[in-house]
Amino acid sequence: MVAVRLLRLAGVPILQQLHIEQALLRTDSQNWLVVNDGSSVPAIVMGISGKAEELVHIDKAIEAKVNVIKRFSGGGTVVVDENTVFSTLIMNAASLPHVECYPRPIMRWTESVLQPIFCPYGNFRLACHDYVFDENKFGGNAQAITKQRWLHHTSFLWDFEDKRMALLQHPARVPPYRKGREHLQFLLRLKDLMPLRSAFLRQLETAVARQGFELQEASMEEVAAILNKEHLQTTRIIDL
Amino acid sequence: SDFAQEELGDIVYVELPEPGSNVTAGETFGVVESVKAASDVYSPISGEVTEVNEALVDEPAKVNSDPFSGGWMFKAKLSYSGDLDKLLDSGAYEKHCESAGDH
Repeated sequence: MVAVRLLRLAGVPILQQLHIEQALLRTDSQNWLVVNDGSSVPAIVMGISGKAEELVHIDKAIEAKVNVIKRFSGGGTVVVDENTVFSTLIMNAASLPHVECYPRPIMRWTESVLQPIFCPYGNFRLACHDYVFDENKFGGNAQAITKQRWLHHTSFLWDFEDKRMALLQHPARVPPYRKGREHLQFLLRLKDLMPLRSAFLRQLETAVARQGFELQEASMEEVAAILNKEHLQTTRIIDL
Repeated sequence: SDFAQEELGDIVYVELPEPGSNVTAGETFGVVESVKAASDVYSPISGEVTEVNEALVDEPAKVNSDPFSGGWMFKAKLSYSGDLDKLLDSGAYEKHCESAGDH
């Protein structure tokens, strides 16, 4: 059975989580599932091509003391805090020979992995690379791909604060299913559908294990050793 | 390559090396973003970057629409001409892609 190292985190700030992920992707050769139950430090996180002046109300972010981070993966801008649940898969393409190491096949596979979790609660699907129920978004996805190894991470909106979401500008590129709606109108809180946050976290692990993988719990000591290896580290807080 | 741009999807962002920097055959020289994914791109040769295609900053989709001409990424002074011998010509690459699609 193919092994997947399981790293359970709780309240780890998203900047630290992203540093861990980039190190695991670039310096380690094992498969990983990282689950972080909330970011204790709220932040706005842009994808690799994001420009803060186009995506964020900078003056409001400064006033709210919310950092803007540029991450190493693609995708859009998310607001994260203690009510965001994160899951990240880092896989060797060889461990999934039927999944081509390109963005769309990877996302189709991850959608299929999560279907059993969400289908009981509504019409779950991947819409323009977001996780939605009908046409309401509850999860944002992004990926990084390197040398037959890929990372897919998701931020799930267990809950969110309207005033933090208001720190984001209306982006130039929006998915068609948004249909001109304001941000708050097209987002959905998972807590309004699913009974228990702790159960959801466990289901994320079970969903991966159901694919035939053996989850092996990892420690922060092991991760610290990986972080110390020399590697390309590009995730950073943007100077506003 | 044309195969890669089709598999990656619409390119929305390209990160290129700085002129004067060195690239290494088989190693990452930059990143492209498509379909919410940042994908490393690998140099076919080793050498010093002499010029990059600045047009890709404003028009990254050129990589999709014109992969073998207007979508060029960088020019370099080869440090080892033997790197060229390891590369596939267009006919051989097409055969390689066809056999990859069969799997």
